[in-house]
Amino acid sequence: MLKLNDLQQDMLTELFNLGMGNAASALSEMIDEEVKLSIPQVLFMDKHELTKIIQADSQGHISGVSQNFQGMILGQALLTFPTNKSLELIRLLLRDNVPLENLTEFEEEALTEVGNIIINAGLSSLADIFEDEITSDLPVFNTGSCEEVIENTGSTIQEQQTVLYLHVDFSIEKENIKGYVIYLLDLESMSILANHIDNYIQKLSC
Amino acid sequence: MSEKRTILIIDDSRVSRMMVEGIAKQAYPEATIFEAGNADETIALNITDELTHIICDYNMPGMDGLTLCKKLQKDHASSYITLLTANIQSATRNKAQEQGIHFAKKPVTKERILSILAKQSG
Repeated sequence: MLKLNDLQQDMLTELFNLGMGNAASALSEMIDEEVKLSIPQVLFMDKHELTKIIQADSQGHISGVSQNFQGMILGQALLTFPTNKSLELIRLLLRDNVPLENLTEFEEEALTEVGNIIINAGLSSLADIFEDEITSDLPVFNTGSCEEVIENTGSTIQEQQTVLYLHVDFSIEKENIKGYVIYLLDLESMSILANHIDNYIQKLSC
Repeated sequence: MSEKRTILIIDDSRVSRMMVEGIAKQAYPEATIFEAGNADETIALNITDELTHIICDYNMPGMDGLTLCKKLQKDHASSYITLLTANIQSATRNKAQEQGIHFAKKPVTKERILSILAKQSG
């Protein structure tokens, strides 16, 4: 199985950190609140293990926005947050534009757009660093148990397939909202990414 | 901000359209605003008014925003056309610029939309 060496993994974590910094900045602009990020994690696991991890950390139902992407690398991105906090999030997002009593009507669409902006901020950052291009499909919204959300994302990645799991927590402290951004890559894309990282390190050291 | 604005907003996200419209209406209460959720809806509107501004998303069902803008440029040559997108890659920005389309990144903010609407083509 392909594994990243320490230097590659360190560089990928740093690049992912940059991408998520952009994503957090986009979210912060949207809601006008400070968004905090955890230190990113870069792990290898299968989808089953992934479900277990998110399940353990998110009590009850979650909402998720997923987006398949292709181009330089192929994979899937997922943004999740607890369903019981989703109305809080869109209240912050739409505060001046929609009366409170109508918020639920826009819930799914607002969260989908939040997901779209956050996921693409991360992907765009990665594509720019490697001077390449990543295109994404339309975002898909799902809500339910952790297992259901991950299963319904339409991922092409099989249950037992090993994936590169890039994960960061984001939190809006004032509102006590916490969520996750996850990027899943299959092994072939991981190998392509490793080559891109090597070239990038080589360029840096010239 | 008294000059009349005639604005076409194209975005598959109703929330984004609503936010852009809200900001535009607040700054330009007399503005005429058209809305569409994708290229087909845009074409079906068959707009003959002279549009001062077109604000178009990139990633939509069916035709993408840049291809749609290319079509709109023919009929609305004097419009100030902006691609407003979450796809903020240099590759997308460069394609827009090569096409003579302005580029603005999402999320929708008041400053960003007012800055677009303050500008005029030419």
